[in-house]
Amino acid sequence: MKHVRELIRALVAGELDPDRTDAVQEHLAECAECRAEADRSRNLWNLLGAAEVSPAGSGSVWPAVRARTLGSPDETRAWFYGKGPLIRTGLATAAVAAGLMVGVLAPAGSAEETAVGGASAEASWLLESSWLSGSSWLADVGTVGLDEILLGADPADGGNGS
Amino acid sequence: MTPVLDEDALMIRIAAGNEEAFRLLVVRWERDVLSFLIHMLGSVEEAEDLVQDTFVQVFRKAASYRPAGMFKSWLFKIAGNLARSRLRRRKILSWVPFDPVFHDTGDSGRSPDSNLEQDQRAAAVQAALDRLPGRQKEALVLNRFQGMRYREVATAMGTTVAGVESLIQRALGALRSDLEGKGDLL
Repeated sequence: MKHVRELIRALVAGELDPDRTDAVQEHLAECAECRAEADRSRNLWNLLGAAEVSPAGSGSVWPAVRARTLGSPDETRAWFYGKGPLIRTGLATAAVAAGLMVGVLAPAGSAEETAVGGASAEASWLLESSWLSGSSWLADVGTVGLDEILLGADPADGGNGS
Repeated sequence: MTPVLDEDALMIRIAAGNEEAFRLLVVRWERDVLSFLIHMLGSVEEAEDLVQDTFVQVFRKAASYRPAGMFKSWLFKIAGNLARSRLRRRKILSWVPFDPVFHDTGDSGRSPDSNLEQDQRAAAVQAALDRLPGRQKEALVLNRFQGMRYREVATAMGTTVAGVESLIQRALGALRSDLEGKGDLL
């Protein structure tokens, strides 16, 4: 086998398939020149690890991102109470009607709905997405667990993201 | 056991306006994005700004996201575009030479007991990374520090696997030449 200099960096980066990995390893066992090249490549790869950054101390950007995308809860409240009494009544009526529509249209008896049905008003927003997730255009998404959303149980979160 | 929603499922909910799904996605990925942007920009402060911008774009583009299991590439494509744009602007404003990453790493999470030698080594490596051409650096950072396979890097950078392979080969070659001249680093 000829020298495998070109494959060594891919080997170090873990990008070679098992067959090619075996072939390169066999060559390295016999070729001192390529073995030295492999050592240098590994050293460089490991040295790069010195520049690894793990920004553990930073706070979450969520509050800022939320404010920039969804607005702050206070703004939403201010928007609602900034309307006249007639408009507020109309909006409230529309919200109740929409809630009733969802209640009528949502398929009964699923675990997700049971979870949502007993949840707070805040969680009732999720009822809509629960209902949507059962519709055909999203059927290929696969298993959907609302527990994580309802309970905020994200293992990667560590509970400090809100 | 509580099933964990994957990114595709979260993105569908985000597109429907589900706030909690969006929060979960942000807290799940913000550190990876921040780490990537620190490497790309060499500045924690600027990187933190762009992390916000990245997730704002994620929210705005959620409706056009195709749930095909390539969320990570899609996310880093957005972050990479923002980083390149910021670097271009920096170049225009002639903020160069820019001090390497550790000019403001006070809150970057580096261990408080890390010694001077480690800091110097890290600074030398980051400075060498900063001297790489932008695309070589981006490909290498995504592969080496974000653990992305060549295929994922190719999707994130809008190129081919062979293109990524070439970028990384050249980046490593340049880094070696650069760092071999730095005493006993290699």
